[in-house]
Amino acid sequence: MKKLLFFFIVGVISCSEVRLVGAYDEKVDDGIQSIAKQVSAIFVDIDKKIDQQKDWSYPNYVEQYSKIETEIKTLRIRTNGLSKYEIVKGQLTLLDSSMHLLQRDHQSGFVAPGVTDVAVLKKSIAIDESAIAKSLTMMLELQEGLKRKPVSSAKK
Amino acid sequence: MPPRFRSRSVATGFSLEGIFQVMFDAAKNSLQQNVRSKWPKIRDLTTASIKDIAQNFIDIKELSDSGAITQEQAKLKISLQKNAFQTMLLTEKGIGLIIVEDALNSALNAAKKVVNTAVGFVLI
Repeated sequence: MKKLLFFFIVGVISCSEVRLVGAYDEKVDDGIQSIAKQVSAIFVDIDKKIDQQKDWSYPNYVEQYSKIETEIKTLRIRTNGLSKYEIVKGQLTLLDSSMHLLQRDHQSGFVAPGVTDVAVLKKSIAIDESAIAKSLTMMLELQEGLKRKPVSSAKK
Repeated sequence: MPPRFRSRSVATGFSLEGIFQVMFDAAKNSLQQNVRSKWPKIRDLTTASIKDIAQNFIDIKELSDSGAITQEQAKLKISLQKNAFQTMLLTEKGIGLIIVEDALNSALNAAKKVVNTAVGFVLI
């Protein structure tokens, strides 16, 4: 009976280690950091242009938004090839949705037509910025948590 | 005599209760360590995020009530807050799974040590 138990336990233990979440992938982490940088650059630029009374309207940022969208798409493709990456994939889907929402708000001018109060405009933009910054911070926090695993095991 | 010797060697310190205790202790230690080291940071970040998101909801309502933003803009902003909240929940889920995973692997490693000690060589 003890021998049977012994071989059973050896069989179970000798299986590879338990993996509930995919391993850390440096390119995914770098990609999220790059997106965070680019999103921050957009908000900083809009803020400066408002202060300088320059044109901060959406058409001036189409290229920047497009670059971010491309980067998110690239990350989504990469994470599709990584095992147990459903959580990160879910976060990227949410980020993609957030970027589209931000663009729609930017296109609409962030405030109602006729509103010229700079403080109100800045407050409206700050609400969007805060939400997207929170999302990116939490995504990077998860990447930090994944870092304890070897990079080589990230691929399928 | 050799088979008897091997049988005794395997049996030494090798029982279901014994191995369970070793695995349980390893898992418990891992959980305690991770909860102490990883959880406070996530808890603080989550608390701060929830406060910010709640404040944003209040600000959106104020801007909407005063007519500073349109209903459509208010909806867009609320969706952004919802996305941020869901992202936060996914991070919590991920960190939670990492903590559980560490505990399970600690238990398995502890069991490996017991088995290897029992057989007298590195079997697994």
